[in-house]
Amino acid sequence: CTTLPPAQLGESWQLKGRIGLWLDNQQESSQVDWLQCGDNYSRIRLTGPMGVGGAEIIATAKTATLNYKGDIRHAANAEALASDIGWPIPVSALRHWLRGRPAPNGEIAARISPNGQITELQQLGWSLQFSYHNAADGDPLPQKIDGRSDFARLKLIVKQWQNAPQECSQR
Amino acid sequence: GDVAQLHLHLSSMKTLDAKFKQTVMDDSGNILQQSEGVLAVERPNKIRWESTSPFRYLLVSDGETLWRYDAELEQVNTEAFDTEVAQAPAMIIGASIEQLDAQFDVKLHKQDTLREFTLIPKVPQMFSEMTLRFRQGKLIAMQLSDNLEQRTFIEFVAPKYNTRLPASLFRFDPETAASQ
Repeated sequence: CTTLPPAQLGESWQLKGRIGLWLDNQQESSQVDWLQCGDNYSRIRLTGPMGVGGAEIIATAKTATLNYKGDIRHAANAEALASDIGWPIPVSALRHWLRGRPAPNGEIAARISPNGQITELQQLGWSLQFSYHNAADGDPLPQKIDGRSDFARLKLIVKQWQNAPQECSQR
Repeated sequence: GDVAQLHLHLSSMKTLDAKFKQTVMDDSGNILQQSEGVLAVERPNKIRWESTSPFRYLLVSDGETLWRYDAELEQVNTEAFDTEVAQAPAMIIGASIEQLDAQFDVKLHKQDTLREFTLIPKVPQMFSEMTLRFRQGKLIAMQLSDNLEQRTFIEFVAPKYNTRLPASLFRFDPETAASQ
């Protein structure tokens, strides 16, 4: 079941959904729980479809930390850690794409629907297709993103968007 | 010791055929995910884990090939079977005593007809602890926690033990998977 997003999503939000990755002939799927607190804190949890095998990446402005299979690793950014566990996805750009927005860096080519939603976007070597909840008004939040780069394909299905002021204040 | 006791319990269960209810919780007890489906296992390495809600996910192995089908993401993955790749907690049911001894420290807790085995992996795995619960020698539930302190409870509903299971159950058939 997919719940409709809040009318207005702030800058502290939480997304729950499912993410699939196609890489060479290997495919992975996972539940994704993304907590974003403003610009400087992301907590991304990937849990295997069997509810086992959690990986968590926490990225702040200065550093990124990975907790996976019982060991903790640090790196300068989340991208390096994500590819360490076989998910070479552009994490910091994805944070913006999830909101149906281009990432702030890198040129873009985009197709915008009449009601102002980005339906296609080329950026940072990825070409992405967005489909949205049919909420005509309010903040256009994607419900599905299908992205391809020359080495991988990424598919994200959003099950739930919510504002997350408490989660962000507790961390 | 406890490993031998666990193996005795597991090997007395040539096959398991059950519905399952799975609940994944975070460390403060919030429910992250609940799913239901059917599980069939035939020792040593045949398994069918089919979750039907909230998303359709199928993991099947005949012991040689492992198929993973994710209906929602439209993903089919085929690879050679090995227990680590399987990442399916239910795979433990097919484990040999050598595998159990090599991979886990096992502790048994007895409580009248209940036997609870706690397995701690000696080698980093997808879970940091697994508990197998038996009543009158029958596996009734499993529990796992992983390094994010997420806990997964798997309860078997109306389990049937040592029934004959058709070989087709442990093969992936794209047509039937897609049409359901």
